Amino acid sequence: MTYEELIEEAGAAIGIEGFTPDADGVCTLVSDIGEIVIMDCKGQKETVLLNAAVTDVPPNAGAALLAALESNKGFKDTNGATLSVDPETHRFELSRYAFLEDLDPDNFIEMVEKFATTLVAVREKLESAGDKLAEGELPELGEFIRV
Amino acid sequence: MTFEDAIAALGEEFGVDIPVEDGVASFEVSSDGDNLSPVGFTLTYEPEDETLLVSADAGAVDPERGEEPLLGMLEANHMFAGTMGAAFCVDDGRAKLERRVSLATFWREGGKSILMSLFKSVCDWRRKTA
Repeated sequence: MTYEELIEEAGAAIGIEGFTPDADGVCTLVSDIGEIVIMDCKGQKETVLLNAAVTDVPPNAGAALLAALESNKGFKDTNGATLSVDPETHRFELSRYAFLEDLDPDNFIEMVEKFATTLVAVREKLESAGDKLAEGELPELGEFIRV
Repeated sequence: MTFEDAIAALGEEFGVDIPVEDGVASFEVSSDGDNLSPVGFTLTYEPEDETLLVSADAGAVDPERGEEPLLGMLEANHMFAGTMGAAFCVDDGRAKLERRVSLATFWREGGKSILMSLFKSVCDWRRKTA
């Protein structure tokens, strides 16, 4: 299955007909939790990357930076994703990748849903750095809207 | 192919015997002609999804250095540009570089190449923050 087929079939499965990446292999899901950008990276192995802005790095950011790095431990609190800081925008971002060969529409949708759930949870955590992410208290997702 | 098989093959590639206990293998890797201390690796098998968590110890986080090393690790994580697909984290006051990889991928791609890419990233980070 190609990247384009994966995106189109996954889009159709969640009710977005004709969901296709642009010429650069990029497409964006928008909902009330923000934008999730989906990218195709043709490296040594073709890779699908999800990326989303979490929140700005606050002034005196020590506690928030440490909270982000501790969330990355074992990929447990991030459901397989990774927290980072964009050096240009000075903003926390959440990213996750998977090899195209390991993906099908079903597990790709599951990956995106987990990613969106994690995005909400880590945003809340970083904005109130120091708070613990309570298991089972993750908010429900909004409906995805095509840009 | 089991986790134990993969670790035995990895040991053969490194020319050492790597012990495995309760699904965890720990050992150190060092490089010749480098003043950096060896990098400790821990490979933990997660049988529920047949995945390995590969963790490389990058050293203690020095609280006196403030935000700079924390920000450096998070910036290296950005789009995985400075980590070659892995992620920096902090575990109990120690900086670690970690990657989750399926046992099948670890076997197919060769565990040594995965470990050496983490080793290189940790050494680069240590030099940068020394």
